[in-house]
Amino acid sequence: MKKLREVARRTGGPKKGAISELVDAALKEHLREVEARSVRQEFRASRGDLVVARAGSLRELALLLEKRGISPRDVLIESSIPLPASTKTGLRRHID
Amino acid sequence: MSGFVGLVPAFRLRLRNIPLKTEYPSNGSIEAIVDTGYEGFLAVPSSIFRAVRLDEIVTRQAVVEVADGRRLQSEVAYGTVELDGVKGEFDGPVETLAGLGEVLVGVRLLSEFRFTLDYCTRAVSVNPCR
Repeated sequence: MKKLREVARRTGGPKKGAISELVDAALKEHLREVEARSVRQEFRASRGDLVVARAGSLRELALLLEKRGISPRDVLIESSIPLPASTKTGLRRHID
Repeated sequence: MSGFVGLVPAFRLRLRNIPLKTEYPSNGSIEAIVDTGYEGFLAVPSSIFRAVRLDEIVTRQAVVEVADGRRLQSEVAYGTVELDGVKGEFDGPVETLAGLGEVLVGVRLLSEFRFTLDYCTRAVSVNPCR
């Protein structure tokens, strides 16, 4: 509680309701994270522009491809969660 | 099973290429270092990427920025991870890049779990979020 008051003072100043605003912001952020986690990932197999199969897991996707007689080597498998163009690894020089 | 390698948290895991019905290792599991500075899902040496035949499906090129600022080209394909002692399979992008000598678990895979480190007792606990 002491830390909460300190942070509220730093971010919201002495005004009334600073703690409530801080708690409200933290709750919203937490709920956004929980919601983002609950979005189900979908996998797609495509040949050129044509999506030939979609499924909620690679296991289900592989089964669909097998049923449809499509070789997994002939399709591009992608996720609904976009692949970032670049990722970082190792120690950062500063904390964001 | 998860624990520490020295002071570094690590998991034991199996990597699967389900569409091609292969897995690595064929028996048991391999050690993977938890790297919270790595934003990806799983990074493996090229020998493991080839052994599980991820190089045989259509892969994507990406860039990994390493600690000294160098930008290295990586090859990415989707794979499935099973952690020792954790129920379930976890799908995500597996990448490999030249010079990588160990298996790295990144934060995209970690974000599937409630992951607790206790350095006082050298205990690691891992439980799926859902």
